[in-house]
Amino acid sequence: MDALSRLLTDHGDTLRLYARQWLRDVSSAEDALQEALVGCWQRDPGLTCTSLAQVFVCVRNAALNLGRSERRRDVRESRSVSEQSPCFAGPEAMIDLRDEVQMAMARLPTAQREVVTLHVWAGLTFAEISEVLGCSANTAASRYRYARDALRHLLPAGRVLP
Amino acid sequence: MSDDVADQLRRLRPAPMSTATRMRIEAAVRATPVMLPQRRSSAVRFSAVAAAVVVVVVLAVARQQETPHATWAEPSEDMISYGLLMRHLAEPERLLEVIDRNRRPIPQFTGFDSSHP
Repeated sequence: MDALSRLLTDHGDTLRLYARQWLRDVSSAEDALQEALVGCWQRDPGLTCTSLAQVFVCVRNAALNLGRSERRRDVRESRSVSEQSPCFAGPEAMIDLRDEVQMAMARLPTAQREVVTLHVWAGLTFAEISEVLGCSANTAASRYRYARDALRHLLPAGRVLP
Repeated sequence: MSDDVADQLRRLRPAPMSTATRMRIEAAVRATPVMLPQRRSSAVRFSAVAAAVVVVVVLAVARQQETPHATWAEPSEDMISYGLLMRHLAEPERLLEVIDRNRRPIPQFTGFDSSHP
C-alpha cells in the first residue's frame, strides 16, 4: 500500500470531515478533498515529502475556495443550505449524542470548530495545528480551550461531561 | 491535564467514506499529470537577468552599428582662429611674432576718386 492509499485509509474520513467545516454537503467535501489531493500529488508525486499537516492545509484551501463558489451559486439561485447528512458515526446507542455533537459543533465559530476537528479527530498537536492554520501554537491551544468550554455548555449535562 | 471533552468526543468517529468514493478519489489523483518542479533559485534568477542584460547590450550595439555615425561638423575658420588665439595666449611672445608676421601695410589715403559719381 503506497502513501496515497494509506492516507485515504487512515485519514480520509477525517479529511472529509475537516472539509465539511466550510461546505454544505458530503459530495462537496469529497470534491474538495479530491481537488486538494490532486494538488498535493502534482507537487509531490507519491506524497513522500508531504506531511499530514500539509495535506490538511491543502484540504482547507480547497474547501474554502469551493465554499466561496457555492455561496455565490446559492445567492444567485436563491437556494438555501439544506442537506445535513451526519458528520459522525458511532454505535446505535450514540445516535442522540452524534446529533447533539453535530449541532453543538455547528454553533461554534469556524476558527474554534476546525481546531477541535484537527485536535480531537485528526490527532494533530497544537504545533501541527498552528502549521495548518498559519497561527501560533498558543493561539491554537487558546481556541481549543474556548471551544471546549463552549461545548461543555452546549452539550446536555451528563452527555459529554462525566 | 485531563481533557474530558476530547475523550468523550473521540467516542464518535468521522462518518466513514464509502469504498467507491475512496477508489474514485484515488483514481482521479493517480490520473493527474505530474508537473515538473519549477526551479526558481536565486542562481537561476540571476542567470536570467544576466542573459537579458547581454541580449539588450548586443541589440544596442548592433543597432548602433547599423545607424550611420553622426559626423562632426568641420571646424569653421572662427573656431580655428579661436583655437590658435588660445594657444598663442599661452605663449604671448609667439602671439606677438604671429601678429608682426601677419601685419600688412595700411593703405594710404589718396583722396576721393573724383571720377566716381
